[in-house]
Amino acid sequence: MKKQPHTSLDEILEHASHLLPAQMPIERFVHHNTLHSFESLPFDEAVLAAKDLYDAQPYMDEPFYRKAYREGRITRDDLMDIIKRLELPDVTPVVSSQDILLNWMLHLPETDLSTGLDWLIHERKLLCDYPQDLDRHAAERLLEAGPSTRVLPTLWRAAGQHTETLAHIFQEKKTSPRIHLVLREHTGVDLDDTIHPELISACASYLDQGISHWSAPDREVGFFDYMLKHYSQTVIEPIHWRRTLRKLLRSYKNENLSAEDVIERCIDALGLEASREDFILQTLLALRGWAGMFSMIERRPDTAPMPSPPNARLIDFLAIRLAMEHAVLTSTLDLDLKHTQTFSHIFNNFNNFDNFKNSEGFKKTREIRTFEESKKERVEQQVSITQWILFHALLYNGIDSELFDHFTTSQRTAFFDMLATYHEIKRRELWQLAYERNYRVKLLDGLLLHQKHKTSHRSPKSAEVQIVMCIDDREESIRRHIEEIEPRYETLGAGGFFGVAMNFRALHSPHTAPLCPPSVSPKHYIYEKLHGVSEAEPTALSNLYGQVHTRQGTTFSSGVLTSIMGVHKILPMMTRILAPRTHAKMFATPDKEVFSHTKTKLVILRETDELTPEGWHQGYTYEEMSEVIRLLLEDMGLVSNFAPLVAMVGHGSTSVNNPHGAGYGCGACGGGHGGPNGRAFAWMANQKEVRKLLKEKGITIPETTYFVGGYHNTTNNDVSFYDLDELPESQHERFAHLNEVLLKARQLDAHERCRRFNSAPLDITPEEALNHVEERSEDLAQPRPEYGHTANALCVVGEREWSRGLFLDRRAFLVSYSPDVDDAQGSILKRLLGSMGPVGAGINLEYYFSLVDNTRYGSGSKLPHNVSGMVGVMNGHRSDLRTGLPFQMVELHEPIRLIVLIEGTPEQVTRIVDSHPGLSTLVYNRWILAAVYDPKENRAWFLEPHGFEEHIVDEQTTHHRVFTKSADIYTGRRDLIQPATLSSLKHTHQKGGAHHVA
Amino acid sequence: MWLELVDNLIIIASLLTPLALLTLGATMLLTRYRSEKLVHVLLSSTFLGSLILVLGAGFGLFMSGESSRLIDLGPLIQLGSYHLELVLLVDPLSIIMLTLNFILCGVVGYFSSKYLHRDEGYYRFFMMMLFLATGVELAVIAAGFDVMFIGWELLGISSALLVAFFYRRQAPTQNAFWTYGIYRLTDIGLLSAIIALHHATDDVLMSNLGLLGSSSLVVGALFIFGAMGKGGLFPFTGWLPRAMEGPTSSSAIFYGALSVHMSPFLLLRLSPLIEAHKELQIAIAALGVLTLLHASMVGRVQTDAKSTMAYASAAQIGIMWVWVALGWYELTIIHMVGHAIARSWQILRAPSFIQERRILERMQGARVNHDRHVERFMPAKLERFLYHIALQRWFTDDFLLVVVHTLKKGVLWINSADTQLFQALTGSDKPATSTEEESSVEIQAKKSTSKA
Repeated sequence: MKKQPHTSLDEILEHASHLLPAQMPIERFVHHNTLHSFESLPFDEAVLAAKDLYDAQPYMDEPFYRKAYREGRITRDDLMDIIKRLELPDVTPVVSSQDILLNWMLHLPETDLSTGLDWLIHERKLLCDYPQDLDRHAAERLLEAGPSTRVLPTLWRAAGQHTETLAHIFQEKKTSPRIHLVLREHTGVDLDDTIHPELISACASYLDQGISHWSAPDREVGFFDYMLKHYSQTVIEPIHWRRTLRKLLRSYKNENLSAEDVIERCIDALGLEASREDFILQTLLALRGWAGMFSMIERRPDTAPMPSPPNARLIDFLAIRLAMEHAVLTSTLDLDLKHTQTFSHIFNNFNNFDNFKNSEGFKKTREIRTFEESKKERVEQQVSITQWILFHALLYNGIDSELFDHFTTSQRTAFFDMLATYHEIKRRELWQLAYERNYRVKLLDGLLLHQKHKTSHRSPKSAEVQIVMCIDDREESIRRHIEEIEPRYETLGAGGFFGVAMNFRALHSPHTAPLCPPSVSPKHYIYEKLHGVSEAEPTALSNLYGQVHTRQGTTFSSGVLTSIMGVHKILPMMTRILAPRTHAKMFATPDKEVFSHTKTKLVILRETDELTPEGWHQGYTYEEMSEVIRLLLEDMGLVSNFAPLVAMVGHGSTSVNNPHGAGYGCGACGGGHGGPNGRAFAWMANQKEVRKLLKEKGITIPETTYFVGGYHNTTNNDVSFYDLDELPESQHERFAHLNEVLLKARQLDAHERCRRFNSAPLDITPEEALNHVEERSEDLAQPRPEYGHTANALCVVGEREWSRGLFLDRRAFLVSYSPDVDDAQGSILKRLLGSMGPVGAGINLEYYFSLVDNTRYGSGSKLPHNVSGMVGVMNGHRSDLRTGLPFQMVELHEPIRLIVLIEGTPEQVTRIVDSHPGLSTLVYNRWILAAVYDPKENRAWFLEPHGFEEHIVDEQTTHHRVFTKSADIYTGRRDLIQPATLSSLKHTHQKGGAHHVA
Repeated sequence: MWLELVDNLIIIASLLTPLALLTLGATMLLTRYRSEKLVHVLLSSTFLGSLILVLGAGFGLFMSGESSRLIDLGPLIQLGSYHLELVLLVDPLSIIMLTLNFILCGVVGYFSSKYLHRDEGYYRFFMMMLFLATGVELAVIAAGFDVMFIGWELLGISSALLVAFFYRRQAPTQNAFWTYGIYRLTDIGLLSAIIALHHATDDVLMSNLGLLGSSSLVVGALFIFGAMGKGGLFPFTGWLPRAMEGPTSSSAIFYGALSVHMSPFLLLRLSPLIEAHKELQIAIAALGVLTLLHASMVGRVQTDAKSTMAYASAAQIGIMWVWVALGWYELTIIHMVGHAIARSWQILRAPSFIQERRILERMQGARVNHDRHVERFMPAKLERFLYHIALQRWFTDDFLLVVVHTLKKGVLWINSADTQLFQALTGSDKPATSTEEESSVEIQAKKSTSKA
């Protein structure tokens, strides 16, 4: 975010649009770094810059970390390691700076005290007794100094003498380029609260894409002209400021002004002292959800639910917003619209402003305080807080007033500097580093020790079945279970779209969805059709059902009839709420009913060179198919030793009553589900012509190998396969065994998942667990159908060999990669990191920020969410659009940055990262944390700010747990579990025939 | 024999919910014990138990052959010669309403116990729900308007408190205040009517409605005004969409199922009065039709799921008022029950709006036409005007605000005139720093702070 002066309005808006929430209409919900536009800054600077801009939290609050410390999630070692790295010079001979900082981190109290300082002092007996939790040395020093009743008050007074010097630390910068705060101080009128109901209603009606029965007329002229047209009409307007607004907009219409003209006028009328960029940005941020949606539809109309969305422009939004602000100001101050004084001039001379005292605004306020009085109160409060902090800063280090008096001037200055530097936010940054370090140490310890403990040192050379799943962290557990149940199977991980970036239309659906990462714009079109039928026709019955249900609105006939007959709904209502799973099995929802007996096919092969109306290619040619296959197989390192059966299993999620449903889907498929991708890939890979082309490119797939496409539903743990009618005879037995293995794996996976669900008892069996998760996916009352990417922390890129059998607690993205297939420059690794890195980073950072500040970065609790315009959710009746993840999705998450663990050497990885600009930004600015693992030497390195440091594990003191069954690791526990080894994965004989199973 | 059974069952059934309320309340106030499971068990047993008892009572009533049954439980208040009897009325309408109450509270309560899991207001929600259930219970089995009014008030308060469920944000509390304000405004009518009834007939039993003489028209009008608030009749419809600030399940149970239907229910209880006066019938029908027109038109322009449903609800209530005006009571009851179930079910599924729409589109094989329907045939200027009016909700809320402000100005003026008169009479000094515009309220405030 470079601070170049942007002069033209377009440039300012362009810049501002990057700082608004970049969330697409909600059906396309995709995880992305909430602070994406700050990526050019280092992480710690970026979150602070964002804090100032968005008024949002940069890290979790100190009580969170202190609780983690008490529970052992952060250890003293973690803290000391982080503090040591700061290399603090000693400030006083009495106690080391490291101890000073440690004591501050553990003990300094909150500064967010709006009132009640006196009460706190009294309540905590601050001036009577020494605190219980003092450090031993500090306590000794204080007891030597004297009795608490004498020492403490003296210290308090001493602290009071230095508050002037320190007061600058705790200044609350509540200045804003907008006039909003000033207006509220002087008149009690809140500009935003007055405008927002009107503005939100206008935006919602303009952007609506499918909810209202009567959509707004005149939308084609653009939001600005639409508002002018509608508000210029003659109506009886009871509210004063809106009368002013109507006059204003009518005058704009008569003068034929454009949005740009209006913006200039309003800014002039304000008489700004601050910069235009800041002003416009803060004005847009006041209603950032809707502003962001305007901007999104302007830039990416293809993401809108309707094919031709309304003509939305951010500049129109800004013009209308400023016009409304102008109207409120004019009306509150009881001015004539043609007044010449600027508003800031008026407020600067407020006490002389006679006009105001007769106005509505004055009469609205119940208690008039002058600006000066309230300012004085704020300054007084700052001074007390400073005394409070300094008192504690000294107390917890056992420095009493006598000792402090003996400090030299330079020592005192150094002490104050240190106190100013390590203020609350800085301390929270250090806590965050300690919090992350703890996991990292456990992970790398576990990884290094795992190699010694696992009994299987080689993946089965010739696997029976290879199962390719998405890299998603939710797949980590089911892959582990599959490997545990059937060691002859091999699992691999690749981006869930499997390289098939397509625009996909499901059977009968009027919509096409792009099933690929959001950064990719797919060029191919694939659709699903009924097998044996030339064109897909909905049945007459389904058509009638649709007609009846859409008219269930507010019209007389349909409303009355449906209501009077409403009694019959009591049965489905009761069963669906009281017994969701049974209901789902008995009363299939209309679409399942209609489509359950259909056989469908995908149309993948290009039959005509004609482009679709949107400009896409119809399907793929064999050459294009072979490229798709080749790239993916090389990425995974699967270019030889193919198993007889290869399953390409995409994933997705189903839940009900969930507007954020796409958030649980496959991130690599843009929030959709990857079943069609797996299906398409499998079909392509089975084609003789494609295999011929692949052979020419160096990849030989044996004739005995067959690919099959499947779909794993991560919510109800279902796994199903496509096009089984084409499965060759020779594969039937193998496939049957695969299904048996998958059934057990699904149950065990559900069992592992259920430990995190409070409503599932700890002694649940795997069969019951599978029923439980099925029920959750169908339960309308369940705001937590699954936990999605909760607790994601790690991305492993390398051979499955060295992570196989390592219990990673569903926290790891697993990307298959083989250095043996790669060239000397690591081009495949570069390609992989370049595509999967941002996806993982996006998911991880979205979860991080939505948890750290669920109100500003996230969308709050799901409970009051109200779907608006088919594009987003509001809270309740009329509010800003909520962006980010809802609380129920992130509440169990651990806010740590993604550790990307790459197979290789530090030199190789450094070279690759340096050569990829996007990647190096993410890595060197520490948005993701890089780690390297060399399996040949069993050595691991972590990238600290100064460079790669090797991680050494102390085998004597580190306790690494080894289990024979997955279930033993987590049974009876609901918390997150550190990495452990599953020793039961044995290797098989090389030649076919007899085999050992665990 | 059957009648005794009815008596006993109803008495026990009506005690269960208040008992649960007291249990939960005592646990919350006096102990630190918090268990979601306890709440769940308490609520399911209470509602299920009450339901079974009520159905039993209904069966008993049916077997006895009587059309209604009065249960006199003795005086509620006795002050000298003044006494109010606690009398319960068991008739098919009250049995139906009680059944509806317990089934819906039970089902929505079950829904909510999962939906609100881990929310900080979990226990508060269920307290409010028990208040709701108690309120509805009292209101429907009351034979006298006094007990009905107690239930009515409980309903109003729990409604408003549930709208303000997310009290940490400003909008829910403001909208709750608005909702409660409308309730209290119309309660003026209700209370006045009850007082007038008592004044004219010495008691407040519903059966006394027939005894009203010349004042019956006025009393009827006051009652009708009282029924307008809860049902969202025009011009008070504005609170219904605002009330969607609460959690989805509370919106369902209150504004889909129970609270709004108290409005036509009250009218049904007033049927002897209404039948006696053509003017009342016309007024009720007019209000119903007006509400239907208003809510239908405004509902069509709503762009969010819950507001659409709120207005749909209001429209149906309007239609029920028309049925009552026409004297079609059985149809009203059928409509009430069906609507309560259908609407609460619809609101519970409000977050599924997008998903259900997409399923619908796959069924049809085409997009749903959400564009203008009948409005396409209007001239553009008219359509624009009507659309704008609809979006502004016919300015009903705004006009109400203006009325309130005018009243407030009037009251303050009276107050300040009174103060000035008092000061003139007693010769006390005016404070030197006051300006002419400072209201006397502010003067008083300054005086008291300077004394403190």
